[in-house]
Amino acid sequence: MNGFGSALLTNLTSLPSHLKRGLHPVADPETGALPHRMRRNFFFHLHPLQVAERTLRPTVTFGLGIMTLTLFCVLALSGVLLMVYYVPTTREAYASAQDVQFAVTFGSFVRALHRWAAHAMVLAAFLHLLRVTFCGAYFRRELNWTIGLHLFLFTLGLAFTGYLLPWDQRSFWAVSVSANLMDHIPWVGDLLKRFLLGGREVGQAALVRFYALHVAVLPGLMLGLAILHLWRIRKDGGLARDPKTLENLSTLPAWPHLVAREATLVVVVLTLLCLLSTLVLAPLGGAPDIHNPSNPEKTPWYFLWLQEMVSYSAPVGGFVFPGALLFGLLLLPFLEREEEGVGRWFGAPGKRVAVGVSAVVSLLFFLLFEWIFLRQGVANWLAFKQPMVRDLLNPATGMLILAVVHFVAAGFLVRSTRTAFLAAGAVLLVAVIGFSLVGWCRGPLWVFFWPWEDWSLAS
Amino acid sequence: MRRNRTEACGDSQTPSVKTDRTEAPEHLPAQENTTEGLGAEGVNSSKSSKREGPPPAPDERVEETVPRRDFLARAGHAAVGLCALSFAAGAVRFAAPAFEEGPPRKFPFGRLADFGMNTLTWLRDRDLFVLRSPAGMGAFSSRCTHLGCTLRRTAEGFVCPCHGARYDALGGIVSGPARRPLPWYPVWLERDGRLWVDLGKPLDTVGPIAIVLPAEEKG
Repeated sequence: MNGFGSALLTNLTSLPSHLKRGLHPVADPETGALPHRMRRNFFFHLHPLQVAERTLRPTVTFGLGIMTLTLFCVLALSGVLLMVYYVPTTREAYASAQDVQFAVTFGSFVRALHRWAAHAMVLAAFLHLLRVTFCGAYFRRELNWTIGLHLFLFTLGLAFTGYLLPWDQRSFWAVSVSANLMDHIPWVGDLLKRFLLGGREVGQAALVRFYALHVAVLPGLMLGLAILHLWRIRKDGGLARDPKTLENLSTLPAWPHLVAREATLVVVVLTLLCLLSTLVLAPLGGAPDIHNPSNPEKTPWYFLWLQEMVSYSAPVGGFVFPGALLFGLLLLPFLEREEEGVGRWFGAPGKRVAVGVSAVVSLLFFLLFEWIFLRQGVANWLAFKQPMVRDLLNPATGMLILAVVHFVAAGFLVRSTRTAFLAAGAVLLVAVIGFSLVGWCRGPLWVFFWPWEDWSLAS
Repeated sequence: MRRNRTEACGDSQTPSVKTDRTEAPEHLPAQENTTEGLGAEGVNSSKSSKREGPPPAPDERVEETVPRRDFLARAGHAAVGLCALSFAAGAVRFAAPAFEEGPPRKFPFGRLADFGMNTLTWLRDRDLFVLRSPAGMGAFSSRCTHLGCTLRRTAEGFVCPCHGARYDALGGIVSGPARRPLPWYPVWLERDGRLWVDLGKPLDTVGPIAIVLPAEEKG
């Protein structure tokens, strides 16, 4: 009995050392040396031992990938906290959002954190996509590019499904309008919409489906793909760079050079996010009036370009233009395989001019298109034309044709697939930003107002 | 040992060595690397023949082009894939809406006396406009055919707050992104004096229609 008790006691006192042995690296039995610092910690395994000095420069990546990952973690944590109070029924969703906003301790802060982190993540992921595109960093990374593109789509999906959950006037109508966009997808649109909404209208079935997608399906897919995404970066030999350039050969140890930079970035992102969430609360509109939209009723800012294009032609703006954009992005790393200038902004130095020319020309064309189509006379003239004519004569179709023209022209003039894709990309980017800004300027009844004009006077 | 034997057998099964199979039932090179056997397959048939296992069942002694192990692996993958696919199909079918939510598509909405002559009434909860005129009565949708926002009335007709589609007083398109005019629905009077509408059967015509009293009340 005594031996039994002392054995238990001895085992208990050695508990810390057992735990420590599990957590800490085991020294080499012969030399007594510890493994390299980067191998001692599981989470450091994501990093290589050495990183190229060039890729550490802030202007090469702007740290956008790490930023997106940090925001995803913030969203996961704050999202779990919000789930404690949220009830996904049409009767109680809005009230539970109000509870969190006004009654729960730190409730408004957690809500704001989730809201601003979500907006920031969409922005960071979008900029990350732009960075990889315009740096040609997809070179020989077809799988990781495809994974990344899906991660971006899932980010949009998460933002979109999360937008409905507070069930206020704003979220209800923004999602109703976006869901009705699916009517204009040929063949499968109606089926897809009924699947997503669980019916013909945004109602209880839609709320539960959006909730399930938002808290389980999409974050789960995202987590798995994000791990694959990070793992592939290491397998593909770190961040993209042209191996033929001499300066790319010099490397630095990842500890401390890379890890310190990442840690700094994470701290900066978290600080700014907390500051913003303390100062600016997440908006919560009035209870939804499901029979009466606000005027004007706008989608979230990241879908404003779609809403603006759809206000001219639903099939072109809601399906053809975004479909072409997505199709082009999916095929990009398979069709564009130039090694020269990989990892450099806008490609090889001699070929950058073409991209700039495309951007300027497309901006001028965009302004011209808007100048024409914002005239009431043109709108009235078009109203009596066939739907086909209206699909053909609108700024979105114009920008799409312009992108194709620039693709072919840049490809033949500069003799480079990279330049061709970047030129078309510049045109489409100008279109997306331009349509977003015009959509942002729209007032009641979707009439264009300059930012300094007052809507209330007009209505 | 037994496992090794079957592996070697599966690896080196080629048509050319079939006849030798019965001659060397116990000769098993267990130490030999199996991948090597795969590489040499078909090239060095005499070497392969020595590694043959027991004779296969008579019905298996047909000309094969796919080695047995590869075939089994492929069949295994296909089976797993098929299971995953059927599960996915079942999940999709499960998620397909099994029933329609919301109020019925065919419903009574009031009596003749509720609607003044030459007035337009908005049935807010049903997303319907009801128009009574000397020509009769009619009901049409109060939702824009573009993206489903509720329309606002103007002096000329209707306008959509979401994307600015404009309609005339009878729901015809004036300007904007809408492609279809507002749909009109059949309206009729039942014997108990209540007006009914059926949203499931949009009319091909536009405008109010004469309200026919039920046959019994006429006489």
